[in-house]
Amino acid sequence: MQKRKSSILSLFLLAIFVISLLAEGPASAQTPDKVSRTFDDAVLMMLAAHSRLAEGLPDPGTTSSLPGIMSAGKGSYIFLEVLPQRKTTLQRMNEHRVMAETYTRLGYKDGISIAMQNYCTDQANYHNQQADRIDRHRRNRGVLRRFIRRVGVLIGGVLGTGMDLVAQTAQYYIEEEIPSQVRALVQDMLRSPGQRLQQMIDSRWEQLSQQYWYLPVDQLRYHVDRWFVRIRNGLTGRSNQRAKPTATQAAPKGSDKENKPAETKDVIFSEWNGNWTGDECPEKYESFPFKWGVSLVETADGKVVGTVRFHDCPGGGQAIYKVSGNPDETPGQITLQAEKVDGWGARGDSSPASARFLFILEPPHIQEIK
Amino acid sequence: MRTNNKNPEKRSKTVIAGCALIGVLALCGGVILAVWLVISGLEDYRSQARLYQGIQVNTTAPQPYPYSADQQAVIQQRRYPESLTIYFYEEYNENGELQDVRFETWSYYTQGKMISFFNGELDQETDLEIITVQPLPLPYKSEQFQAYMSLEQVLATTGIDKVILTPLEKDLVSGGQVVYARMLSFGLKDGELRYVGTEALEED
Repeated sequence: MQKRKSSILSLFLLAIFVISLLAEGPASAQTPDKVSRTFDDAVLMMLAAHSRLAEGLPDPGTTSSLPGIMSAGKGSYIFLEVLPQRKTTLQRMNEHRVMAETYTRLGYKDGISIAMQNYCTDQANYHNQQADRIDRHRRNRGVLRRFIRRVGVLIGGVLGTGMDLVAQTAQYYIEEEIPSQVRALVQDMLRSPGQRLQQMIDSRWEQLSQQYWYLPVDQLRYHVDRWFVRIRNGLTGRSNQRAKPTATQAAPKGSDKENKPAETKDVIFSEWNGNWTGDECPEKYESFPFKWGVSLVETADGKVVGTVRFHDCPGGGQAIYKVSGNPDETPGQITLQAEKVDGWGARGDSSPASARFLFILEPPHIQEIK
Repeated sequence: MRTNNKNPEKRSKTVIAGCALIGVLALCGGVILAVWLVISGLEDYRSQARLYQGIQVNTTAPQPYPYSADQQAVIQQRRYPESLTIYFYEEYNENGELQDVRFETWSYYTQGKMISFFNGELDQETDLEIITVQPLPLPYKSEQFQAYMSLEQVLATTGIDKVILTPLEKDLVSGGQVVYARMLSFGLKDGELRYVGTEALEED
């Protein structure tokens, strides 16, 4: 009997151990090597800061009805001017999705090594997974959630439970709509998160390409790739080998490329750089509240890459595709080769793993080519 | 044979005991539900954005970050930036050693330049579209911000007494929060300053 008890106990402990391993598995798999203060976290915070600022942009001079918050008069700038914004015109971005798109774009960069392509794909996949989790979390705004929130506000207000901030004389719960306290340059801010990140990357890339201009192109790639690897979560320890370019990627001897700095501009301005969306969904809190969305960027070699997203709202799920293509001979339209990278719900299940889409600019619409 | 109902007294006792048991279970369920509601509600409350006003800090401001020679030259040539962004993070250097990185960009909208520095070393100059409107003077300087400062230190060095604090979702940046102040936003992770961004304003 004692033996049986102890074996049951052992099995129980083993089960707990296995479950804890499974629970921690995905998170630890993504933990960077010894780098706890990652570049990605810093950028995600920048994106989050701008995303919340842009969300629900109020009219200047809106009078607040919340206590202790002043309204902004014409010509003056009083911080925290506004508040209750129900008629939001701007949706909150999914910060991880922006990172995923950035890595996807990096993965298509001209002259990048296979190792770096793989690395960028891994990072894009990771950020896409996180983006989906964020989407699901932000979608979860049911009646129960609102009720819980009201209870929390009530109790929190009574107990005065707040952040462990330094001494403060007053604090106000401001729900989810973050005031947009700066009116000027807000339009710039809306465009800036992605731009700032891209500018930063481009700037560093160019700086390195100038610094190593005297090196053959394969060595240049080695240095630049190493920088990308280093700046992304410090994978250097194991990436020095991975990041070395393969023989097939090196420029042929005597070619023009051999003695020139590598082409570093991967993004050019064209009609295919931008985001387009379809009809709005009825859900108020959707982080992607559109029936479809197309996000494209044209690379220096004339290729157009990006993502396409379909959303059967309400409640029908979504499908997300990584797409690439070349502008058609017919102006204003492009055929996109698509590969499904994620999906959920009925739409996610029913969407094919790969497809071809025709995207037309005027008026913007997208259709599958059968 | 119906033996169970022969004794009415025993039957009523059984009914009372049953009712009491149901009552206790309902009470326990109610208590558990109430506790769950309180905990969930408070957790939700804590995760929401909040405005703090009239903040008084007891910490003294840390020593300012010393500008590099490159940065001093830029300040001399162009004055202090009209807007700036700073990222603090770690990465491996060429020798495989982990190093702290301070990557910052200074924007001069009226001069059409954006200049980036990597650990104080001039990294890149990028052209910006020149704006004709004169932005309001930026009340912050790069030297006020140092890697991994605490919220209290940031408030002490900037003199800010009013902020909006927004905790970030666990799936976004675990332990992260973004703080907004006048013409400024900054991000902390596990209480350490990791991102600073100023927002230029133009006169209405």
